[in-house]
Amino acid sequence: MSKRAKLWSGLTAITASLLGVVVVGTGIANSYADVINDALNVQTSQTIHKENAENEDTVYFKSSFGEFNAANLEKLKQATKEQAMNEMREGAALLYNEKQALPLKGKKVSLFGRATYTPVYQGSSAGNKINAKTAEKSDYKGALEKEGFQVNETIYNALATLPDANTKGDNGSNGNRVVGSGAGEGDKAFYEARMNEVGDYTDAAIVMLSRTGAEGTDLKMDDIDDDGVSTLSALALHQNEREMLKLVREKFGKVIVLLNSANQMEVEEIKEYADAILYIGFPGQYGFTGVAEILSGKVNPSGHIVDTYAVDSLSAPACVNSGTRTPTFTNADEINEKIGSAENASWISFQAESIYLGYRYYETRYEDSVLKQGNATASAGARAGQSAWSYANEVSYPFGYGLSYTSFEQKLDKVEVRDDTVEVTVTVKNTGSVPGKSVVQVYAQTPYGDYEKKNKVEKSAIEIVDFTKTKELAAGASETVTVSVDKYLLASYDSIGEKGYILSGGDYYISIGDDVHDALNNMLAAKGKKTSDGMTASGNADKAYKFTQSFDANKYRMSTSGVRVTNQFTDCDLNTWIEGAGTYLSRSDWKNTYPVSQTTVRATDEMLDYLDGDTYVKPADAPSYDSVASQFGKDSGLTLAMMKDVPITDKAMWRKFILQISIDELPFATAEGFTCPAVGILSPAFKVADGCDSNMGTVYIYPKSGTTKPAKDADGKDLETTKDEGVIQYKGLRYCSKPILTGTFNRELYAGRGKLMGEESTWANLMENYNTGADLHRTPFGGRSFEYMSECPTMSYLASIPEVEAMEKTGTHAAPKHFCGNDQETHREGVCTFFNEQAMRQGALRAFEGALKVAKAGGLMQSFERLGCTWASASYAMNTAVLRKEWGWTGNIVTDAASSMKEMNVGYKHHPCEVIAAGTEQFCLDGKGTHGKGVLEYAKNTDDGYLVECMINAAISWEYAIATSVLVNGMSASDIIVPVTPWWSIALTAATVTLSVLTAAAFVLLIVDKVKG
Amino acid sequence: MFLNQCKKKTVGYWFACAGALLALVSLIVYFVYTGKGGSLNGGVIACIILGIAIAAVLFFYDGKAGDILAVFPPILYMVAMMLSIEGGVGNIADDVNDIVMFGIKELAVFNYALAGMLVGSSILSIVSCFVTREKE
Repeated sequence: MSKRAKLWSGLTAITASLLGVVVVGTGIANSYADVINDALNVQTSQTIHKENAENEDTVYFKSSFGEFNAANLEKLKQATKEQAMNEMREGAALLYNEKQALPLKGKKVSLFGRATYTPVYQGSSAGNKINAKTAEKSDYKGALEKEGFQVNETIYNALATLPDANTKGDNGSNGNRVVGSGAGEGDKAFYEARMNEVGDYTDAAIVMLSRTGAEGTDLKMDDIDDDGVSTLSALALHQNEREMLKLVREKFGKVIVLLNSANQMEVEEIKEYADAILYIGFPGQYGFTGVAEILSGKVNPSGHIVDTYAVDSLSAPACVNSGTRTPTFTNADEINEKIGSAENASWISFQAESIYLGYRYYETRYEDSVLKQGNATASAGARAGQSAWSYANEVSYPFGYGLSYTSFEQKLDKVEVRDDTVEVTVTVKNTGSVPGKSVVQVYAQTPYGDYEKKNKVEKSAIEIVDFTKTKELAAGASETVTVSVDKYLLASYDSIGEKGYILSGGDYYISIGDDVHDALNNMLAAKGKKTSDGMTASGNADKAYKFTQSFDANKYRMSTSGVRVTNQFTDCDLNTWIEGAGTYLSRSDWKNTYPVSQTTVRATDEMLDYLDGDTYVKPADAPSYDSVASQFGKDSGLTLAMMKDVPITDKAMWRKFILQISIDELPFATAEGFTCPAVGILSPAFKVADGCDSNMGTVYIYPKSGTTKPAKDADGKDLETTKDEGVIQYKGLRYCSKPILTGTFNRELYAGRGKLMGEESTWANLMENYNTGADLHRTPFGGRSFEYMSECPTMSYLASIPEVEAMEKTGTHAAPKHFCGNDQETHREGVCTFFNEQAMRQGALRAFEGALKVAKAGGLMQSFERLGCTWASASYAMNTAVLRKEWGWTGNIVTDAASSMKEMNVGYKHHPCEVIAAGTEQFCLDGKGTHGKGVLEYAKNTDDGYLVECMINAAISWEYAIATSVLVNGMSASDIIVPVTPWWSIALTAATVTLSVLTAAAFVLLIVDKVKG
Repeated sequence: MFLNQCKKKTVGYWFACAGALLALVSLIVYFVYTGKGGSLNGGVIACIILGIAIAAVLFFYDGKAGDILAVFPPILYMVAMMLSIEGGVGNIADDVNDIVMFGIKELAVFNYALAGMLVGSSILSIVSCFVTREKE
C-alpha cells in the first residue's frame, strides 16, 4: 500500500470529519444564533451615528447615581448591598421566642444542620447565582463572626462532610430531581459524635433547617423519609432532622432554629425542640448580615410572614388536585393518541378551592366555626386524627404574624368612609424598651348574605386591604399613620347575578391587628363574640370599625378604561364542559364541599377540539393578505429615537414607523431571546434581563469610553468588546427571596428593589426585566414560591405596585411573570387548570392587577399552563378582553419559553396563529422568529390580512417598549440601524469552504493514487 | 478463517476496531440517554451503525478501496457526535446556567459523555487511516 495513499486517506478523514462537524455545527449555530450571540456578546446590528444636534443630550434615561462610569458603579453596588441587607433586616420573621431566647446574649455558639455549611442562598431559577465560591457575599459563619459570635469550628468543619443542602436527589424512576426534600440531613450517629465536640460553645445551638426550591418541580406532597420507605410531606420534619433536634435539645439550654426555606415548613414539632424560630427564607448575597444582626440584637426583627403556616402542610384544600398530586384526565392515553403527546394535554388541575387560598380558607372557616354556620366544624378537611375542624388544631402561625424584641400598642383612631376610599388612621406606640418598627395591617370584611349565597358569591371572612410600616420608634415613642384603602378591593366578583364586580349590601368591617387572625378576632369581638363562642382569643372591638354599604353593582361595572367588566372565563369552569363535574368549596357548606378526593374527568371530544390547539378561525371581515402586505417597505424617515416620546395611542405614527421594514422582517418583532434580534432598520439587537430576585445581567464599563457603552468609530462600529483587557464587570446582585421582601411590609423597600434592579438593568443596557413574580402560593409546595410574593392576591397586588413603578422610572421596563395562574411547577407545561370566574378575578388576575393596571408595567411574561383547555398564551379572554380592554394595559406581551418552532401546529406551544390572534406578541426564546414566520406563511397561504395586522400590533408594542427604554440612550434622531453578520457566522462559512476544498483535494489525491497504484 | 483474518491485521486495524467498539458503547449510552427523556435523532443511530459496519467490512476486506472506506467511519462518528449535541443543547445550556428552561439538565452528563466517546472513536479511526491495517 502506498504510503502516500495512507497520507491522503488520513488527511481526507481529518478534513472530512471536521467538515462534518462544521456543517452540522452551522445548522446548530443558526438554530441557536441568539443564544450564541448572547454568550459571545456579539452585536448583530450597528447604529450608524450621523450627527448630533448641537448640545443634544442623548442620555434620555439617566442613572440616579450619576454618569454611567466606574466610580458611580461603586455607588450602585453599595446601594444594592444595603438594600439586600435591609430586606433581611426587615423581612425575616420571628415566629417563636420563648423566654426571650433571642436576641442572643452569649456569644459562644455551636451550629448544626447541613445547611449551616451549604445554605440555600437562592432557588434554582433565573438570575445570577451565589454559591460557596462567590467572593462578594455575606456568608453565614462570616456574618455571625462579624457580629461577635464565636463559632464552634470543630462542629462547623464536620458539617462539611454532609451532603450539600442544595443538591437535588434522584427519585429513581426517570431522573427527575427531587427538590425541597427534608431527607439527607446528617444521621443520628453523626450528630451524636458532634455532641462530644461542643466543648464550651454552649451559649446556644443554632440549627439551620432548609428546603430548596426550583423551577420545573414542586416540593413533594409525598416525600420519602430518611428510612427510604416512609412517605411524608416534604415540609414536615424528617427523621434525621428530628434526631438532630432531639440531641441538640438535650445538650443545650438554648436552641435557635433558622428556617432557610421559602416554603412554609411544619413548625409545631420544631417548637418542641426550640426556644426560638426565625424564618429567613433564601438570604441571597447579603441576607446573612441581617440574620446575624437579628440574632445579636443589633436589629429588632420587624418582618411578618405572608403565608399561613398550617400545622399540616397538606391541609390546604388546593393540595388534593395540584402540585405533585395533579391527576391526569381519565382518558389521558386516548388524548395523547388522538392529538399527540406533544400537546401536553394529559394533566388536569381542578381548582376546587375557589377563592379559598391560604388564610382565606383557614380564617373564613374559623369565623364560620365561631358563628356556628356552614358546617364549619365538620371533620371534612380537618387534620388527620381530628374528629372536628378547629382553627387551633389547623394553624401554627397566621398570615401577617411576626414577633418583635419590643412591644407595640396600635390604636385605631379613625376610619373615614369616602366614595372611592376608606381612610384609616392608626397611632402606634412602642410600649417596650427597645427601638423597633411596627407594621400596621389593615383588614376588611364584606357581607356574606342572602344575595351572595343565592348567587354563589364566595366571601373570605377577612382580607388585607392595605398596610404601612412605621419608622423606627424609640421606646415610648409614637407615630400616627394613615392609609387609604381603595374601595375597589372591597368589591366581589359576581359571575351569576350581575356578572361583574359588586359591592355587597350590608355591614362592612375594617380592623387592624397583629396578624390576620388577630384582626379577625377584633371583628368578631365587634360582633359581640367571645372565647365562649369558640374564639381562640378575646378580640378587641376597639380595633374594628363597622360601616354599612348598600348593594352597588354599578360602581365597578365599567373598567377605568370604559369597558364593561363581565364574565370572560366561563369556558375555564369544568362544569361548563361536563355538568356537575366538579364541586367548588363554599363557606355555605364546608362539610359537603371540602375537596376530599381528586377531581378528574374523561376529556370529551369537544374538549379535545380545544386541547389540540388548532382553534384559529379567520374572521369574516379579515382584509386580504396583499392589501396589508403591500403597505410594507415605505420609508417614512422615522427613526427609533424620534419615536421615544410618541405615545402608543398614536397608532397612525407607530404604524408608519413599523411599515418601513419589509414584511419578511416583521417576524423579528415577535422574536424574543436573551439577545433579541434587530428588527430591520427599526431597532437594534438587544438583551433582556430575567429574574425576580436577580436580573441575570452584567454591567460592563469599557476602558476606552469609560462608560457602559463601548467607544465607536466614525461609522458607529464598536471599538471595544466585553473581552478586552481593563473591562470592569459587575453581575446583578442576588437579593433575598421574594417572600422575605414582601414580608417587610415596607413600600420603600419594595420601591428600592424595583429601583435598584432597574438601575442594574439599565446600567447593563437591558430593555426589560421579567421580574415581580406575582403568581400565587396556591399550596405550601410551590417549587417557585421563592420568586412569588404571597398566598394572598391582594398582598401581591399591593406589594407589586411600588416595585414596578420604581423600575419603570429607571429606563428598564418591569415585566411581571408569569401572567397568570402559574401556581404550580409540576406539569406546568400544559396542565389544564379549571376554575370559576370569581376565583380567577379575585385570585390569579388580582395578583397581577396592581403591577399591570395600576403600576403600568412596560411588559409581561405569560405562563405555561392552560386556562381550561386553552394555553394561557392563546387565551383571548386573558390577553385581550381583560388585559387590553378592561385594564387598558399597553405593554408588550411575551410568552414563557417557547423556543424555536420546528413544525407548525405540532406541540402545544407551537400554534402561533392562535397565540397571535389572542393578543400575545412575542415568543420567548425564539430569537429566529420561527413562530412569526410560521404565522406569516400561513397568512399568505390563506389570504389572511388579519393575522398580519395582529403582527403589526405586536411590532408596535415591542418597538414602543424599546423606544421608551435605555436602549435609546446615545441615539439621536438621525441615527440609523444596519444589520451586522456575526463574526462566528462568517467564520463558519469560511471554515466550510476551506474544509470542503481541502477534503475534495485530499480525496481526489487519494483516488488518483489508488487508480495509479 | 476468523483467526486467520485476525492474524493478518496490524495494530492499525485494531485502532479502527477500538474506535468501532467505543462507538458501540456510545450507541448503548445513547439509548440509555433517550430512554431517560433525551432527544432521539435517528441520524445518530444510523451514523454510528454505519461507521461500525464499515469497520467490520474492513476486517474482511482491505484491498484497493480499503483506504477509501476507512475514511468514512471517523466522519460518521463526528456527524453522530454533532447530531447528539444538537439534541442536547438545551440540556447543556440548563446545566451550565443551573436553570430549568431549555432541556433536562440532569441529562447533560450524557451529552458530554457521548461527545467524548464519539470524538474518541473518530480519533482512533483517523489514526487507522494513516497506518497499514493488514500485514503485507
